[in-house]
Amino acid sequence: MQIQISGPLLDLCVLALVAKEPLYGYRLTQKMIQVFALSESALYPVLRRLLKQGYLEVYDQPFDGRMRRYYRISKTGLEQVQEGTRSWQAFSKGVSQLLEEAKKMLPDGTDRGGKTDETQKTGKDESL
Amino acid sequence: MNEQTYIQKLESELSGFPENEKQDALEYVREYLMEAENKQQAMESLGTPSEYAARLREDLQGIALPPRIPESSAESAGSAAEPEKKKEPYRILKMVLAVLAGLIEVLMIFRVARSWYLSMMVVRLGEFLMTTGVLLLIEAAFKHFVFDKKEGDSHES
Repeated sequence: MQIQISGPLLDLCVLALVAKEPLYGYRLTQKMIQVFALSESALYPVLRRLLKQGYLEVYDQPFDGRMRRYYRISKTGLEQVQEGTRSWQAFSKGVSQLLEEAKKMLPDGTDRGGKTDETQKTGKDESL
Repeated sequence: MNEQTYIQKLESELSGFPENEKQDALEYVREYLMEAENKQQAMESLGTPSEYAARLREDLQGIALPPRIPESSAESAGSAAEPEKKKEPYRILKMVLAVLAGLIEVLMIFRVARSWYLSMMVVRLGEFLMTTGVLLLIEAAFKHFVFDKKEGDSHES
């Protein structure tokens, strides 16, 4: 089963990614699809929306005789990340609790599954 | 299809878009394809120009739509306008009654004043005040029995 990312969570993840460093469209998309199962065409609407909402800003920087359009986070964008982090923590806690309770009902050997999940996650974080 | 054709096709697919939206999207895709090491693969993963345009159109409609008015506020606005409509006929009736009463009294005073003058004018004036009082009473009763009853009915239903 592959978990799809969309809606507010996708917006939040893009904001969080850009909060670390300003990125141009192609680079941002590549970084996102490294982490999530995502269509490459999904990012432009997200960027456009976040710009309209004032959470992102753009600036152009010359590169190789042309311009690269960089996206950086705004002050309200950072506030949005902070708020989103709280919402995500509550959400993820709820899901984890449900899964934890269900675990007791699963056949043996699934306990190790949690540990491999952890290492996969940290591996992905480093690749960013 | 090379990048140039992709961009051209996308441009014609976006013909219905606002000019600034169109240019922003085209500029983004142009840069995107320029950055990609494997252009062919990049174009494939973006989808065909018409697929990409459909995606943008869907997103644009979501933002362009006017903000939805919450149902609760629309309902309260409707109920606020209704009582005013209900009140209106009674206000007109009141005004007609007042004008009629005033007209009758003025006619009576002038007719009597010719023969008895001041003394009878005072008497008539008293009568005028009394009539007004009676009219006010009738109006109050009318309001109480007809208007309030109707309001009560609407509350029940």
